[in-house]
Amino acid sequence: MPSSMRRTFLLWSSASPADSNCYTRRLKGRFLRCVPPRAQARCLVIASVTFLGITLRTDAAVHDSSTHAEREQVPTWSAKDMAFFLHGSMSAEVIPEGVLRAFIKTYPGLFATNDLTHLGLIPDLEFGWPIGISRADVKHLGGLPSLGHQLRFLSFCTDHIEIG
Amino acid sequence: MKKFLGIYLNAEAKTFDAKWQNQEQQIIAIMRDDAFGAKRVPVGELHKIDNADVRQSFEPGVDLAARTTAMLKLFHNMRAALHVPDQPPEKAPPSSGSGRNDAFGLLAAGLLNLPQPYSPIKFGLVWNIDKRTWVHWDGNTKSPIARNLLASLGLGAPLHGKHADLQFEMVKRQTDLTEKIRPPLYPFAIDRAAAQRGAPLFASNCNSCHGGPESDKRLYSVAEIGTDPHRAGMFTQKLADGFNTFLAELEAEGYRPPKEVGVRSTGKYFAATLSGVWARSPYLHNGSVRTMQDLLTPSQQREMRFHRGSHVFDEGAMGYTDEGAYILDATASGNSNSGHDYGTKLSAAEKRDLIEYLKTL
Repeated sequence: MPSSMRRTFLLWSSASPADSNCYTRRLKGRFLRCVPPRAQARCLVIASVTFLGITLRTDAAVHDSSTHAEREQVPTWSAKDMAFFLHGSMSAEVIPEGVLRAFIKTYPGLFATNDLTHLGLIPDLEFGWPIGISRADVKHLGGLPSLGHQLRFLSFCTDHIEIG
Repeated sequence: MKKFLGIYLNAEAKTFDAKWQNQEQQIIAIMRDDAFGAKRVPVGELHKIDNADVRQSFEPGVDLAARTTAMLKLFHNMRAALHVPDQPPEKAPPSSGSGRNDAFGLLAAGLLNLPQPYSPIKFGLVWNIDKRTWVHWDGNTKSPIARNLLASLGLGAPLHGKHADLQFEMVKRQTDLTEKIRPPLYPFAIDRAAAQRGAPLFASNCNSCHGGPESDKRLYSVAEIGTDPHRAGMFTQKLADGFNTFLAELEAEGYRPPKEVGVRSTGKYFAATLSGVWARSPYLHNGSVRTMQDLLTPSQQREMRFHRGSHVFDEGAMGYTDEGAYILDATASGNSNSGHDYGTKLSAAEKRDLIEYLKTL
């Protein structure tokens, strides 16, 4: 390695939508066999969290919302713009927050951390969930406050690197 | 369900166990009858769920059987909005690893019911978007808002027939914000003398494809570049027509369909401008080449397996180190690291100079 010094920076690298680790086939009149509830729940957890997590994967570490790199890359943004960029909703909230927290406690083997940062996301302690996660009340989820991902932006394009 | 429900309702363990015991047979019957909460709703549609039925509270008179039914409906709605089938497929799709996905494969299957061969791609660029006319690795999408709408709808915003349940103004706001992002400057030291030597190397080896105005002249066929063909090949005219029709017929508050066609099929790859290229490892559209050093190596000598997930940057090689949980196997379908042999015949010193120059972009 060229240098022993380690430095960290917040920078913006790239972004893109979705992830392929998702079951995407539509069911049309298919007979549903009975799957044990635990297996069903595990599948739902895996699908939901994988979808959330892998779509948001970054090379992660501590986030500083006012870094030099940010000011260089988005000089015209206001603080509100930045906040919206990091956590604003695009109507893609997919799992009630309470359900996710209960899943995390119910299946600790699936979650190395309580806040999904083990998936490579950048933590945001103030918001409570990593960069790229949005929160909104969702009508089709019982009006519950629910979490989602900001699609092609955010945690994909928010990165942290260290020099090794 | 028992463990989950007890936690979800913040119930005191003993009281919950007693309540569950009383209703266990009823709950089991409910789950056997409709394990996926999908029986009493059309395929892909959503239940109407009352907040009272899914609230996180455990009252003395709570009906756990009713709560179970409500949770099953909730889980169904979660899946349906994501276009996830109630039962997982027999074979899970391949894992793309960090920094990659099969974006259009997902959208084609989820929104158009047109599954495509797995074609992983690296996450695209978000800077200098305003300078592009047609975006994505194959230059297939013209309308930024259409692009982001597709992403919203493919990833959780519910779609009821042609009506989208989303806040269009938020999608527009994100789109407008993104248009203002500029490339990241290289944050570490640059050998300026080496970069100066590298400038003419860039001009002679890279600029003819990656320089100049952004236009269709920078679309190159797979035969020409030799890189993995899957992504270029999967986005057919049929898919383009499907997405154009989808966007033309989509109804969403605040949304007006584009006046002109915004999606096309090129069958080619776009040679992007290299601003911020230092930050874009791994390289090629499918992220199959870990470092710039490796990209400047003849393709038959490149790493065939490496780890993804590192956040440690190797300045000399220009790319992340070979660490992380995911292993990219370049022999797997869609992961070929072949092609783009430009600059591979430069000497080691020239490659170093070129890499230093690339850090200045």
